[in-house]
Amino acid sequence: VIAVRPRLALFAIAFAAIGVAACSSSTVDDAGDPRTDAVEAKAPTESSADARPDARLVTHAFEPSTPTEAGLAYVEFVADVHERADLAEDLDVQAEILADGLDRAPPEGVAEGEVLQLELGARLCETHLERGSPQAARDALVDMLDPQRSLPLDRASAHALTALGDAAKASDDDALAAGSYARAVRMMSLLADDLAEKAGVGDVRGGETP
Amino acid sequence: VTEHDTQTDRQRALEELRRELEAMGEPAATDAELEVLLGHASDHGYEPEPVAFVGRLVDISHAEAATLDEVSARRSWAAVESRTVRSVPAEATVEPREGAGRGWVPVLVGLVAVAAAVGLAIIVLPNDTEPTGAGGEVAGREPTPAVDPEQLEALSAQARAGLLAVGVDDTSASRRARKMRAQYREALGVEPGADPEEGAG
Repeated sequence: VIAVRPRLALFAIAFAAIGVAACSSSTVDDAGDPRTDAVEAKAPTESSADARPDARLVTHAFEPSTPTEAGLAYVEFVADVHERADLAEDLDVQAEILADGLDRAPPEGVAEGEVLQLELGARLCETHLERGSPQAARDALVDMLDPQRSLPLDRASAHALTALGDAAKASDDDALAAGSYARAVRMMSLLADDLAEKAGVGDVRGGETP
Repeated sequence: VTEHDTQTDRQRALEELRRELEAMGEPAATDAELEVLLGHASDHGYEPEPVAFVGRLVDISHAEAATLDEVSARRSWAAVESRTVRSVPAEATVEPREGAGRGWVPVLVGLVAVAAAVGLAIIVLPNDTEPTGAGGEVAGREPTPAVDPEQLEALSAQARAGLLAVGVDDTSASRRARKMRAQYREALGVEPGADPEEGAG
C-alpha cells in the first residue's frame, strides 16, 4: 500500500502519462468479436497474424456498500476460502478450494462481492499457472473479464487482468495477453486519476489506494 | 585476442574515462583512480560509457531540483531509463527503498510504464483512426502484424510493476478479504475474530 503521499503523487502522474496512450488504444477494437480474436490467436494459422489485442475497457465506480448480514456472510465466506487456500500446501487442493469459492455468487447489492470475486479469480488463475495449467488459468478469468463487461474501478480488476494476461501468454494467446495487459495498465491509470480526483487538485494526489 | 589487443583496449577505455570525467568537470583522475573506476565498471558488466551516464544522472538530478518541471524531469528520466532498460532487470526497478526522499519506486514504475506504453501504442494503435461500418466492422482494415514478443514482455512488465505499485502481491487478496471481514464485523458490531492479521493490509 502506498501510504506516503509524494509517492502516490508520482505514481499518479506516471500513470496519467501513459493514460493517453492507453485511452487511445482502447478505442481501436470497437469492432469485431473480441472472443473470436482470442480464439483465432490460439491457432497457428494464417489467421493468427490478424488477431488483434482487444484493449476495450468499460469501468464503473467501486463504492463500498453499507454492511449487511448477507454481506458479512459472503465476506466471511471469502476470507475463509482464502485462509483455507493459504493453509493448503498442495496446489491442486488450493485450486479446488478457490474454484469452489468462486462458484458462490455474492449477494445482490454487495459491491465488495464483485471485487472479492475478481481477487478470487485472479488467485485461482495464478494458482493454475503455478501448477502448470495455463488453459485452466485462462478459463478461470476469461469470461469474467470479457471486454464488453464493465469492471469495478479497483486494483482487483487490474490484478485479475494482469493474471489473465499471464495466463494467455502462457497459453500462446498473444492477442488476449496483450489486450489484457493493456487493459490492466489502463485500469491502473484510471485508478490514479480517480485517486487524484478524490484527493483534490491542490493536494497533489495523496491518499490511500482503494 | 592478443595480450597487446587487450592492453590497447584497456588503454582506450582508461582514456575514454579520463575524457568523460574531464567533460563532467571533475578534477583530473590519477591512473590509479581510473583503474579503480574501470574495475568497478567491469565488475558490474558496464562499458566505460556508463560513466558518462552517471554524470548525466547527476546533471539531471541537479537540473530537476533547480529548473525542470515535473513533466520535463520525467522526460529526462525516461531518456535515462531508455539507456538502462537493456541491462537492468525490470524487477530491480521497483525494489522498495525505504527512506528515499522523493519515493523512487513510483518514478521508476512510471518510467517502466512509459517505456512499455510505446510498445502498447505500436501494438494496438495502427488502425485507430479507421472508420467503422454499421455493423461495427472496421472498414479497410489492413492486416495487422502479430503481437511482437518483446512488446508483449514490455506490457507484462509494465502491468506487473503497476500492480506492485498499488500494493498487489501474492498475499494481498487474502489480506484484503480479512480486512473486509474485520470492517464488516466492526460495522455490524460482531465480535472480532481471533485472526491477528485482521485489520492489516
